[in-house]
Amino acid sequence: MEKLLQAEGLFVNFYTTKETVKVLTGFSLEVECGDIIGIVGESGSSKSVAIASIINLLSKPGKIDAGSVSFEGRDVLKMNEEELRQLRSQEIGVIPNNPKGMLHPIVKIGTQLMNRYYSAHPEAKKEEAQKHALQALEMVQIPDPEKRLHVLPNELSGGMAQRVLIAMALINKPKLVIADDATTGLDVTVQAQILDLIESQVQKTRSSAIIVTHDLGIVVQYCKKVGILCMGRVVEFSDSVERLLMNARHPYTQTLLAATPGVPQKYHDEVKPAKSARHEIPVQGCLLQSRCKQCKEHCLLTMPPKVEVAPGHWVECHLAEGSDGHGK
Amino acid sequence: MRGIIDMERLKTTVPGNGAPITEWKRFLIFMRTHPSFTIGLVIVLANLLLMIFGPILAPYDPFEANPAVVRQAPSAAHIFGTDLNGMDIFSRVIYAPRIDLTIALVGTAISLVIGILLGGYTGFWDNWFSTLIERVADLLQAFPPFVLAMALVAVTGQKIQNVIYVIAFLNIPIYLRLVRSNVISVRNCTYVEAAICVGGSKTRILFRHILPNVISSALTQASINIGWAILMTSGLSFIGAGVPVPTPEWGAMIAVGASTIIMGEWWSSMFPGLAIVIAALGFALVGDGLQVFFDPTKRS
Amino acid sequence: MDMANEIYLEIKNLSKHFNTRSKKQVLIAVNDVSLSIPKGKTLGLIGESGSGKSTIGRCILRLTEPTSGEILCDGKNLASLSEKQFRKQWRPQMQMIFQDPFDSLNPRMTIRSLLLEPIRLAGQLAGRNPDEVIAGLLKKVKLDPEMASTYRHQLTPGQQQRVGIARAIATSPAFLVLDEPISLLDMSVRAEILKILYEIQENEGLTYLFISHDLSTVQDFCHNVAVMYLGRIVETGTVEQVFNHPMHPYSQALLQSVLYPDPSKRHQPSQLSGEIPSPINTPPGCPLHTRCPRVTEACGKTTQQLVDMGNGHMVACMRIENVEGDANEKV
Repeated sequence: MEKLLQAEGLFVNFYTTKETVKVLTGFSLEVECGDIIGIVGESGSSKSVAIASIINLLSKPGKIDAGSVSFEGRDVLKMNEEELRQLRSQEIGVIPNNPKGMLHPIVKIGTQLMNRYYSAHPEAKKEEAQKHALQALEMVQIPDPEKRLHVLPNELSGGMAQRVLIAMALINKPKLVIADDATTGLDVTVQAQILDLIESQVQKTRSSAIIVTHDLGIVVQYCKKVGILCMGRVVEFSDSVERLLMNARHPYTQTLLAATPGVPQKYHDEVKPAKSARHEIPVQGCLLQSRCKQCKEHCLLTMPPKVEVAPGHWVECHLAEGSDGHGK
Repeated sequence: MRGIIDMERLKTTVPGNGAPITEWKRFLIFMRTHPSFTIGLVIVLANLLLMIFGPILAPYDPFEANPAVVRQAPSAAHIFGTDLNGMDIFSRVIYAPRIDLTIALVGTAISLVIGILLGGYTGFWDNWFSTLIERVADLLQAFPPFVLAMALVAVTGQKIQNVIYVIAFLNIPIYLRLVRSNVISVRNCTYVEAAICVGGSKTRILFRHILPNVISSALTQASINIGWAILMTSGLSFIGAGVPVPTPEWGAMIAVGASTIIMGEWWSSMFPGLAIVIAALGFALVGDGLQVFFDPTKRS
Repeated sequence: MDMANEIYLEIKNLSKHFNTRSKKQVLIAVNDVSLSIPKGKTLGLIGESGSGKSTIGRCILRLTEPTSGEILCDGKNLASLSEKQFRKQWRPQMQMIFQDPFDSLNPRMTIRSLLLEPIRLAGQLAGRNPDEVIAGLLKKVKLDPEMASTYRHQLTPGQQQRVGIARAIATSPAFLVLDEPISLLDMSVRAEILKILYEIQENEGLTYLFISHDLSTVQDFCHNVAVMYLGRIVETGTVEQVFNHPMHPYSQALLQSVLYPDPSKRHQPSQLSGEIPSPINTPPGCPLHTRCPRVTEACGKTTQQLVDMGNGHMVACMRIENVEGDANEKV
């Protein structure tokens, strides 16, 4: 089966007047049709940068220095403006967080939805766009959708605004939905409703989804596959979230699970938290060498290899080499 | 949909953008990358030097009228020529910063201090007194400043210190407004609440927590305004409502030369005129540059 | 069972109203709340937006002035003291840890100045060596003493919050309000902070009011818990009572929405219809009645008081059922 999305070896750097900051250090991800993949990462930056790189929407001072992204076999990084517009409006829908900040403050919701529809269907007539905008609001279960079409974003609550963002992402029925921390800051009850909504829409249209979050609960409840993002690359990946929960092999994953209340398996802290606001990306060897308690000599010299510890479950760690590596 | 990445959030979370390099080094880089600022800085420094050393550098006494040399075109003896009264224009032009700049700097300093204090008060305390001050400031700003300045100088008398006070008085509302709006936005910051929580009194919080975080915009505004203060001083003196007569002041000098321009004696007004333009421009460039330098959102 | 069931602070009929700017309507943030905070323990205050939980914390510390009601501590009503009296006599005793660790620190002050400020203001610096005091505080929150000369932007969020904790305990208070102290921190950092807070409580016998919307953390960290909805308390009890046997329909819905990182605990879709109504012009009667699956006509008319359902587990509902579904109608 052809892969829907294949991002390989993305290296993204931010060039500022003071220094060059390495944000992505070889980020790779494969999405197949029908997948719902969770990407777990801490502190907003490299998650959002990864998403932006996938749709080639990285602005200065960020720059993709190496790597490739292909969507249905087409090279995203080499697309021209027209093709990218088509990609981002029709084929990939991104749901960002910060709903109030992502909606234009002085344009009505209905108009914003219609504009999104027009960006994928430039020849469409006004009535057609209005119809789809209304349907989109109904799909996300906003009460009184006809009235809400004429409302401004600041008249909506946080939960409502987030639903509007989902409607905007899904109105053109994209093949791939990317949710970037889509429920941060929302109430617990609203969060569950929103995620249920995304899940049901994805299943109904048989599209794929990447859910990027720091909340393991979301990943366990909604995703089938999971990747762990650390210091700009995916360090552990499993086709089955349950299997990763019970048998996490990367020290960073183990630390994450140890720190999360409610995980059914016991883990210990293996990685110390970052010492300063600057993550120093080492020149050679494993990225976590200064923080990992299990760091050995060869961890300092070579990048850890990708080791398959179970079918569909791989980890990038020297310690997992050999059939019985360390870890629980 | 607008951009996916929130660049401002990125700046605080992307590793490495936390600790700045020293401000001094950043200033030097800034000078290199912003030539207009550097030019302005040179002008300002030149004017400040003239303010201090003007009298020494002047070849002739700026106050002395020599009837033997009236209305002479620029020559080797008088670089800028002489005016209607036989005074050496060059000496007067380089002496004038002592007057113009003093008025502008002191006037601006006074209005800055009072404006900051009043702005701090009205921004932080919400009472009738606060409202009163704001309304008075509004009233003051409703008048055309130049006309009001003329009237005030006429009433108080044409002396240099009165010009200073008038300019100070008329500029207070500018800083009051600026500081007040900054204070209003800062007072909701969590660290202000924390300062209350640990036991600070309102006054202490204003001076220790709020004002230090708010002054820089007032200071940069002030540096831009010094140019305006120079223009206002010159303007007032030009129409005779500013400094008293023989004082070497650019605006006054232009007035003296105005009557003879028609006869082709361009030097009498032109050199002081140029001096005003250059000085005001210099301060404006410095002020603009400082604004960019201190504004974190404009940094790359 | 613990013997020392002393109450540190008692809130009686506390209300906080805000006037809306435009329409002269009233926003009721806290609506006639009565609560007891046991000494030396952690009381969790949970609820969603508009519940009023943060406002209660701020009213206790007089960062917001209560509209009515009493705040009783040591026999005195703190709400009736003047601002100056409260500041001098009580602030050193009661401190707060804020949600945003970055914004809670003044950008132009060093950590050292930030930590010394409360001590100086409380007059507790006399005769002590400031450097030793600072070093001692930083040690308690596991920070390097060299960090005293840094500024907030040089620290990670976890370190910033530790400074916030150090500042809060600088005057040796008896009571801390923790207003969502870890919600803006990464997962791996949260555990560290909670550990430090726990140790401090154990060593110094502090009383905590832990305000949070993160139910799994509250379950781990708190001894007792109160559930709030639209300015009222709907259920209180020990963590065991409320989390394992929630009785109020709102508590049940809330707990059912929690997404546990445990595949065996699937969440259930919410039984509550609609969204949380606006706290402006709240409807009379039970605050939940516009959304409750068990609503009856009487629910919209009278406000329920908290009733003891046994062992101190208090619930404010006329239509109590067990989760399995047997209705126990209360007269």
